[in-house]
Amino acid sequence: MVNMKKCNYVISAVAAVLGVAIWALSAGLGIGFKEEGGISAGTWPAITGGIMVGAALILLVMTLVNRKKYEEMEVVLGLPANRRVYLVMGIMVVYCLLLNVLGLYISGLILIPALMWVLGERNKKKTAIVTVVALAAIYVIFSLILGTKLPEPFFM
Amino acid sequence: MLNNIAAAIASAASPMTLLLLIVGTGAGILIGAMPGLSVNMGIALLYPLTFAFDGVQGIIMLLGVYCGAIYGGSISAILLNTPGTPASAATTLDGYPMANKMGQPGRALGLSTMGSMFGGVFSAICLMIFAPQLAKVALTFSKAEYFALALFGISIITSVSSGSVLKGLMGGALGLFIGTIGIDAMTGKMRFTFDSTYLIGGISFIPVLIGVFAFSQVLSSVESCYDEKYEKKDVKIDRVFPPFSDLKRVMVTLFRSSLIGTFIGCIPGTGGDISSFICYDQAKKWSKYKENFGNGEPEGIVAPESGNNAVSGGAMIPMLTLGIPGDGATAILLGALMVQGIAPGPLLFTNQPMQVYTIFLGLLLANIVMGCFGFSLIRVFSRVVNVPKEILIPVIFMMTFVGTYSYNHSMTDVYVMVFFGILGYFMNKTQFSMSAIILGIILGGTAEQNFSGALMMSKGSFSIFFTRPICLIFLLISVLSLMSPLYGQTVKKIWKNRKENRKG
Repeated sequence: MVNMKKCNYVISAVAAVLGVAIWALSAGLGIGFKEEGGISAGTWPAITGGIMVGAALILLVMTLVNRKKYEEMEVVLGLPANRRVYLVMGIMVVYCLLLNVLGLYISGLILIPALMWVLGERNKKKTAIVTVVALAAIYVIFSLILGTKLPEPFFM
Repeated sequence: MLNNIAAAIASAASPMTLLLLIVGTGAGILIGAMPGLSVNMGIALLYPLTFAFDGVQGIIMLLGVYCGAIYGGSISAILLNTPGTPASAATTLDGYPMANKMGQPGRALGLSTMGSMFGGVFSAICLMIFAPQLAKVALTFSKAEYFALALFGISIITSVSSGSVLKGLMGGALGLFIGTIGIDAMTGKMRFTFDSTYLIGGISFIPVLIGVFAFSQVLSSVESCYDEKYEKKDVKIDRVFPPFSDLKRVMVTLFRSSLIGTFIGCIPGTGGDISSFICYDQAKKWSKYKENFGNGEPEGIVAPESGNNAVSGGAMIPMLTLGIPGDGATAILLGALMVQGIAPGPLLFTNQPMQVYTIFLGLLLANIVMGCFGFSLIRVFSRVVNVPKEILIPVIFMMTFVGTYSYNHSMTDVYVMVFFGILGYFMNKTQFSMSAIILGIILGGTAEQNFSGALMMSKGSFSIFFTRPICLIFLLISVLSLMSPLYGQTVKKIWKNRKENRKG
């Protein structure tokens, strides 16, 4: 089981690393104030990196001090409902790749039924109607009325 | 000035603008009525649509979405006891009992429509009266004051981060960092671009916005609807327009709640949810029918509804005049205005007066259209609560892709959106605030440029920030706002003890 204490440790570590990295990269751009006034290109990002590191350290200390409180706070990440979310995330990543190759409409013909199936819809007729109506609506609103360019398949 | 007002009326009343307003308001009501879809999500989803239109026309459409979604939340609050948006949570207290225990859903929906329209129109009129006056004062501001204002805007991160202020700060810092990616406007240097042509222009605001407010929220809906049994709710709605006796009973509450809501909206970091509960509480305190609250009291419906819709105009006052967003939704609107070439702040009133008056009129009309929709089409809108999640979720996912791609015709934007959507899901789980990230992105650039500009003005002396009274006041407020989590609890305790002592 994941609790907020563990999450806070991870968040503190990630934020600290990110903050230090921002600071290090900012140093290359120049940190400080110009003689004629104004700030160097790296100053503002370095401040954001500093805030990140500062907040990470305070969060770490606060978590250590209030260990019990955070241990009792559960972060739900491993239930079947979460696993369904991870599956949807996977579908989305695959869809991004398909979108590039097959375009919006053809890949949409795969995405919508896939999502409906994952969400528990087993009625094929209903799935087909929703898919066709949704894609037709997008076509009419975006492509026909608004003239928006949407991803096209590689063969077009 | 009269010329500008006449031009604004012509612009706001043009058939295309009215059509967009109607479409936006209708879409907003539908989005608000569906539990799980927030106001912010509605604006984020429909935002890319606005690029197809002239700047102000698109913004007016978003204003329609904004007002419609706040109102739409009351439909599911009344019919299902599930607020469509957090701003309608207080409406469930009396709306649901009136619709179910008393068997008067039409009356409850009519009262909520009346309350929402009244609150919205009242706040739009306040916006028209007070915003130009505030802008006149703000015209004397220099870069130092603008920096202080931007810092104040960023400092409301502590208020919007209800889960954890520290994580709100981290999110804000992340947003500030994202805002620095690309070419530095002051020095012309490339920052964090890693030789990527995409990053030279910086990470676009739209994909991040759609990712954290829409994509991540739909992922949360995928989780929350697991094992949820679909139940169709058949509601018979009779008369919707409130009878005269109800109007007479709620009139004072309408005015009081609209005033409170507008005032709360002006305070950055608050929002419709806070306003609706305060208005409900005040209505109960002042009511002759205190004992009826919680059992379907008409005042208990109009108070939160007029209060949360009045926030819309109130929040626009600091947003348009000072460039400080009042809540998450106005932060998105601020970004939308900037993308459309409309720069909120005191100069907006002198440089683009026609656009300002069009926005004023747009907000007023949006509330009127919202009321007309509510009274005439409530039977249609109330059916939306029956749309199953298996249909809704895939369609919204498709919309996030369409919206993101249509902004820049870039697949990289799509990848960025999905990345921030997935990140946003986990950040939501661990008490991060999405509004904090957006505030950082939007206000970071303004803060940095004005900070640097102010130092150039003073030839590197920091005294410029402490010798200008308005700048100093805003800096002090920013510090107080940022430190509020440290002393907030203590102040609350002292206040509570005093109250108890007085009672004792």
